[in-house]
Order: sequence, then C-alpha cells, then structure tokens
Amino acid sequence: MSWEKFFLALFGFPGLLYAVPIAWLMLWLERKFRARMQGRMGPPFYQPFFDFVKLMAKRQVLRPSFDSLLMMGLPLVAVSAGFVALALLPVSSDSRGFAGDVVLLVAFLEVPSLWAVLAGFASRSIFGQVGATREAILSITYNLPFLTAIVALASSAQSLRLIDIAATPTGGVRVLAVLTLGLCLPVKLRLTPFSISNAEQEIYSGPATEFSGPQLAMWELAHGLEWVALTGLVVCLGFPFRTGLWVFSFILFAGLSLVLVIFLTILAAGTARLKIPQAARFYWRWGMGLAVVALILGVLPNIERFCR
Amino acid sequence: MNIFSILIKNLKVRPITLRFPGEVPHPKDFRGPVKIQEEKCIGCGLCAYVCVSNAIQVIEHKDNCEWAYSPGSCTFCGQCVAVCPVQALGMEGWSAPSYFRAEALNRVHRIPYPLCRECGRPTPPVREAILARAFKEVTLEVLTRSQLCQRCRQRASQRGLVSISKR
Repeated sequence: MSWEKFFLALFGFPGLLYAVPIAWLMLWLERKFRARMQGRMGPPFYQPFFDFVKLMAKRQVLRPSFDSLLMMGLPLVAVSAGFVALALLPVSSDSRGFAGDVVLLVAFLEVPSLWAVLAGFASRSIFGQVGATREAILSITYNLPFLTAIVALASSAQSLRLIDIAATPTGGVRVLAVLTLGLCLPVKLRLTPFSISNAEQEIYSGPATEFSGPQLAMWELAHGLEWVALTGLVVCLGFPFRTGLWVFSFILFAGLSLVLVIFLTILAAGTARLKIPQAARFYWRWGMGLAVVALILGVLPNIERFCR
Repeated sequence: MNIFSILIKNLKVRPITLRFPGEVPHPKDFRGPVKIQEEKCIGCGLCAYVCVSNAIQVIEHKDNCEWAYSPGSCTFCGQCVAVCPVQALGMEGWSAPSYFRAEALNRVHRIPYPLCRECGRPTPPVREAILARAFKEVTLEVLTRSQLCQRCRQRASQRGLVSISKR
C-alpha cells in the first residue's frame, strides 16, 4: 500500500470523511430504531452530532495533571486507532493492503476496549473500576472465538493480507468464521445482552463514568468508529462483492453495514443483560464451537503445507 | 418468541412519547418566567426582597429604576407575584426554553420616574392601585398630591396645616 493511498483511506473513504458521519448515523439509527421498537419516538437524526458539539463545548473538570493527561490521551488514542483500523479495511476496489495487515487490524480493533479498561482504572472511580474489570474479563471471553475465526479465515486463504482473505471463494470456512465474527459484534460493541461493562442501571457507564466534556465526546466518537469498523469488517469479509464501480461498492458497503446495525439493534431491544458467567459460557460454547469447526475446516486442506 | 412480537407490534403503532417540548400543553396556572407590566410597577422592590434565589433585582437610579430578572436563577416559586402590591407581576404560561449562554434570557425593564408637578424633579411613580389601598376614597387632593415629589408633598401638607391654623 503506497503512502498516498493510505492517507486517502485514512482521511477520505473509509476514514475520516466517511466514518465520522456514518458513525453518527449508526449511533442515531441504533437509538432511533430501538426507541421505535420500545414504543418511543426516539431522537432526530442530527442528535449524535449535537451531542458531540455540546460535549466539545463543555468545560473540563480540574484534576491532578497526570490524571487529566491520561484521561485526555486515552480517548484520543482510541479515536486514532479507530481511524487506522478503518483505513486498513479492504473496501475500495483498488486497495491492495500489505502482508500482515490483518494482524494490525485486529490489534487496532482491540485498542478502544483495552484503552477503556485503562481509562476505567485511571479515572479512580469505583464504577469505572468495576466496569474496567468487567471489560477486561469480557475481552478475554470474546477474543478467543474472534481471533480463532480470524486465524481460520487466514489459514484457509493462506495469507495474512485482508484483500486475499476477502477474495477467497466462499465456503464453509468463511460462513462459519463470519458467523463467529458476527456473534462477537454485540459484545465488542457493548450492546445488550452483553452490555455488562457499561451497564447503565448498575454502574452508570462503567469505564466512562468519570469522563465529561471533550473527553467523553472523544469516547463517544471512538465508540462510533468501533461501530463502523466492526460492521465494516464483517461486511468486508462476509460480502466481498466487487462491482468495479467505486460508487456501487461504496453504497453496498455502507448499506450492508447499516443493515447489520439494524440486526444488532433488534437483538439489543429484544434481550436482557446477561451475567459475566452466562456471557462467557455463550461465547466459549457457541462462539468457540463455530470458530473451532471453521479452523479445522480451514487448516485441513492445507495440512501438509503446515506439516512441511 | 414473545418479545419479538411485542417489538413488531410497537413498530407498527405510533410512538407513545411526544416530541419535546411543543406538543405537550402547559396546565392553566403554569408558573413560567415572571413578566412585568411596567405601567403598573411602582418600583417598591418588594419582589426583589422576597426573591429567594436573587433572580429579581431592583436598582434605583436618579430618574428611573431598573427591574432586572434572570430566569436562569429563578425557581418559579411565585412569591414575587403574590407579594406585589399593585399586581404588576404575573407569570408566563410557558416554560423557559433551554439556551446556550446563561445571560441569554435575562431581561431588564426600566420604569421611568414621572416628573414632579411642582419642582420638576423625577420621583417614584404612585399608581391608583396603591392609592386605593392606602385611602378609603381617592379624592382629587390625594390624586394631585400623588403627582408631587416627596419634598413638595411635605410642603403641600405644611401649607394645608398653616391654612387650617390661620382659619
């Protein structure tokens, strides 16, 4: 990947210019659709943007200098990681990627949740610490099937390049692996029934409890970018259609992402929050089961190449 | 799956919530921001005196008095309206909107002091409502004296006393 193309992906599509509006749109769609399913009216579509502007304009709470440095730095790094993860997605038809970009993508996708754990402890709030602990336990829970599914895809494609993984013909491995990735979406996005780390009715907002003003705005933006990146990843790997025309692939990518958001919203509206052991059991039984089958299917045809 | 049938049913019917704030009617005696009728006010400052949150301030100047009100700090208790001797205060029937700057809704009314009939000095206004409370019947003499400043009023009283003693 050349530098110009990387910067285009970082600041244009699917980076800054695309991701920020679509992140706000996704956050709105989730809220609105959930509200309608609960019989409420829901916010107007510009609400996430207004929330962002309002938070940015707020005065910051004075804290000890190291704490405030951490609390400003962590969400900023989470936002930047979200942008880089988006830039790595193989969306535009001429993106080539580079060997190993799937590893980098997985790492950057994990940054917001990891940083949320750090932020929860840095904020020195009891709710932040409980939320951070829960987030840390959950990340062990869901990363096992998530990473196994990625490994299954990579081993079946014999490549660590996202574009090669997306371009392999669809088979059992891909169906199972993408299904596992889809299963991991609600917990990675902290949606009900896996909204354990930011359970509003128990521990306010978990790791983000002590954050306010611009810092909270950055967390919200990072969360929105997580939405775009994770749904984008599933769409990229699950529906790797190449129309050739830039506009069509853009519409297909954005549209399928939004459809995925609607599915996640239905799940969030129709379920109640689980406990950590229940969530862990679900992911280690069903998620891990699917991922292991995918991994076996992905490794078996190439077994002699691994043995050599 | 019972919950999903409930969700689908909710999607089909109209939302039960209303858009904020316009469509919800305010009740009849709603206590909104305080409003003032300048032509009734006598600038006595009772409203500022009873205001618990210091939302009303009455500042006296040489030829007028300032009635300053900030809804941002008002608790809408209605004490000022109850205490006003001339019923110059009332409350709006709508709630104060949200705003960006704290001072955005602040209002300042100037109550001009009329000039004394005799010496031409500005003097706090005396309205008929307060006269009606103070005197059993508002005679022509009371009315003409109410248009004088304090000093001239004292002099008029002295003149009256002198004329009675001469009689």
